[in-house]
Amino acid sequence: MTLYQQADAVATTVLIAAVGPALLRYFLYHCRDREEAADFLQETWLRIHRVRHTYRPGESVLSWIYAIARHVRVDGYRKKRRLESHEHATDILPESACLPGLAHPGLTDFATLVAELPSAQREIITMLKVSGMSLEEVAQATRSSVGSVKQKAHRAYEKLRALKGKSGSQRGVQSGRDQRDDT
Amino acid sequence: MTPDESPAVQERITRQILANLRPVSPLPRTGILVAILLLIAAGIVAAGAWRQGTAGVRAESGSQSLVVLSLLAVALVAGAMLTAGWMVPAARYSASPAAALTAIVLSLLISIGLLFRHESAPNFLDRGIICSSIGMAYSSSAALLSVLILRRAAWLSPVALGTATGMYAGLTAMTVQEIYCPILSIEHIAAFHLGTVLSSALIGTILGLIVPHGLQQMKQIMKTKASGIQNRQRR
Repeated sequence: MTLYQQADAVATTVLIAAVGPALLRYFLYHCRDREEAADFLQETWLRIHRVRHTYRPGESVLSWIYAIARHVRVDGYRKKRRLESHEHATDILPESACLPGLAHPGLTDFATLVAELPSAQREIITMLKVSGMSLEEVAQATRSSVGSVKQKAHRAYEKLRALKGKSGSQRGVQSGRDQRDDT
Repeated sequence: MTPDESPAVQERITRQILANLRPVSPLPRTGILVAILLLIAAGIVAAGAWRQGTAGVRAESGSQSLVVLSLLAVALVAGAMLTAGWMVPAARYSASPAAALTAIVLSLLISIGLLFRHESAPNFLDRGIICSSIGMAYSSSAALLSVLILRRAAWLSPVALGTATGMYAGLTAMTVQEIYCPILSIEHIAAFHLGTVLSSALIGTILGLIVPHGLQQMKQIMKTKASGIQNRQRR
């Protein structure tokens, strides 16, 4: 990051390649469509570039980057809400292109499960488990306390466990039916 | 598009960033930013005492001026720390400006309630308006001088930064008012000295709400005009 501030092209390319995929995953877990996630990613990097002087050497790069990403996501959501409030539907369209549980077809089981969580819990789980940030880094990025992050993460794990159990038992019933059909 | 399918997006972003890559000097540490903001406040307070006089401190008892000015000093440090914290993304110390404002105003209100009494003051409103307008002039000066630092802020949360800066500027102005204003009536201090802090914070919040939208709209108008000129030139 310090080399990026000094306009080192190689370091900049390495930084984008290292953080980009995790950032894209962070947006994918929060957006309904993939184009939107790509737009958010691009906007985040443009903002990072614009305010790169506000990173102070020695501080956590991930917290700094994710704090910006979080603002881009929230601003995008607000902008969307503003546009939607001015639009009048002429046709009745389905609420979402995908079912809530299948928000991102083609993504992993983890993504499908995480999509069921409330936005705040999803954000924290994504930062902790996908981006590999520490509790302190997540707290700094979300401007909250470590205790609050821990509490949200704990609630998210409980919900994920319950969801996993539900989907596991559903799979068990389905495989039992399949076996009976085979015999 | 899964992350594995993202190289095209990454490449586009890398190209865009590399095209505008220039060295930048990082923002100073939070401690230095806080120190600069406190120096600005000290300068404004000194200028206020020199220009308006120190009748307020002379009229107050020792305990009154000691408690109120110490509280204001602590609140100013908190206000400067809050402003510096909201300038950068993911700052270590950044409480909610609304919560900080509530805490500061409540503690000042309690101390004023305990230290000052009701006094019949003639021309309550007229004198109050004059005192308040002097306070707002010093508050604007503090806010304008703090722009020297704020222009390098990330401006991710303009409303929070606006509230924090407004509060800091208002506290600077209230310190000036406490030093020069000889009216010791509890109603006057609560309405027109503490009112300066609240009005400044409110103005900061409103500016934080309006200015970014205004700038965005201006940018869009400029872009539309520029593309119109380009189209005409092509024709």
